[in-house]
Amino acid sequence: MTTSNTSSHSTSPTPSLASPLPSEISRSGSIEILSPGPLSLLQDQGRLGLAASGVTASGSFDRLSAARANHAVGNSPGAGLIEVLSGGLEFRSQVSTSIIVTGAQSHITIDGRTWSANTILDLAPGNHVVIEHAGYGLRAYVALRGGVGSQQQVLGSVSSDTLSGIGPAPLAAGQVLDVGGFPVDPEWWPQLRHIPNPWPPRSREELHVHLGPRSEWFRNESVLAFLSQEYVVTPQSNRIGVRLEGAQPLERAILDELPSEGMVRGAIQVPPNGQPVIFGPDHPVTGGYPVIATLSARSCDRLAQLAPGTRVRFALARR
Amino acid sequence: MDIRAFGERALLFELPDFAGVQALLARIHGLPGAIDIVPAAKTIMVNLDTAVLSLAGAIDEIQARAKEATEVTVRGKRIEIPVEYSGEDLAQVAELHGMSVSELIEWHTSQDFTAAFGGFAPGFCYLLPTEKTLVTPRLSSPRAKIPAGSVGLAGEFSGIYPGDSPGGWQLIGHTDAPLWDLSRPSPALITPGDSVRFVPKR
Repeated sequence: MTTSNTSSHSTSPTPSLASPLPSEISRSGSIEILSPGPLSLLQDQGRLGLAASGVTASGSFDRLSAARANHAVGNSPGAGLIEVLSGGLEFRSQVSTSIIVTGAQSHITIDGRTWSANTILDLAPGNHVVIEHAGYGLRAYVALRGGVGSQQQVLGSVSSDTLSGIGPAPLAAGQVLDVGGFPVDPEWWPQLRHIPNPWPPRSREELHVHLGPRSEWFRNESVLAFLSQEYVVTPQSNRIGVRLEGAQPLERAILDELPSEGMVRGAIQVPPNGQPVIFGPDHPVTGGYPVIATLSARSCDRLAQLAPGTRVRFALARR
Repeated sequence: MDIRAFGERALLFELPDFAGVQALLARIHGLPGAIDIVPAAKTIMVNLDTAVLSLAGAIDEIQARAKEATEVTVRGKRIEIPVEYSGEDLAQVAELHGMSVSELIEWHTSQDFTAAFGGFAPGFCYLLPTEKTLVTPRLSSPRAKIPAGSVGLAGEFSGIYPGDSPGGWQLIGHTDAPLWDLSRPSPALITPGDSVRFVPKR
């Protein structure tokens, strides 16, 4: 364990908020995947700045939970971690490190002993780990101290882009996944082993939106219907887009064909059938259907946790 | 130009035509705080790192730059693409334009095309002719699968499919040039701003 002497670290006379915390590159080890469950993907903060080349940013769907998970184990924000759809990920550790599961409230079983999510736990070589199916939420984020997948970066990121296939393939049984190689905060001694649940249960699901950029392409009654009616998350939903269904299809005021234009995560496109599609992290870079509204950043993260069958309404975000 | 907010962290700029897009693009190229600048036929979408540049700050900065009188040009590289002109739709496209097949090939190969913008798939660029434009309608029934390397026409654009994909473009030829290769430092062969010259294979 290193003890860092702050007076010997900084090169400037006074410490500033901009100077980075001391960090070290973590030692490496691995975990052996026994079962990936329905879908387990390597993710991080995504590959930014390549949209003009047709490469979408990708990255963790629930960025809030992913950031909390990495922070909880003293990882750098860019460390790779595992996004687990629903649950069922099983692996054997070949490394000593720390682990946390957050996002969906999945229990974690280590060598037969079960713990709740949001708990920083120790992992030893030989431990058998199961991420159980979540009782609440849809995507769990598993962070190991040191990060995972540093050997599998493509275009500067470990994110698995499920639309283009760029990045590592989904985790598979028998795969040996590298742990470590990402910077960690060496001054990390968690006194508190529990972090708050990033998504406390709610009785009503509400997604916050800003209208536009093409809300005027829709009839006023349709904009009002969009903001008031209940929608259901359909099973035709994934990291590319979440398809919703509402009783009243949304109707266009402008019937022209829209030339394709740049898109963002959280954009809510309305195809000809009048049912909204919310773009996720693996969205196509451009799209030709008008965007009636765009989710707030926080609601983009919340969207990752809404399983098919969830009922949800849209509400205007406060600026 | 029209400016629209696109959620909390992006802006959409609308221009009257692609010439307007090119002019604005040249002026905001490399804007600090912009994560992505995505041009399209009549718009530019700017995705912001709002910790560095707010929406309001970006609007101010881009409006100021748009007024710059200096003729800024961003020129890319020039690329030759060898094409085997044997596409399935070659004859029907030629007939549509009242040309013989060899006249159509001559049109395609005797001028440079500018890579205007991308976005549809990694490595794909919409290519605009620099001298003579032909407008080719898309297929009324798109194909379920267009093989990688297919060279096609749709609207005023020409394009090359970097990977297998469904699509409605009319296919006039095929190239073996690797449009997208992750082992290269720059995986996309053609990026917006480049000039493309099609060369018929013998």
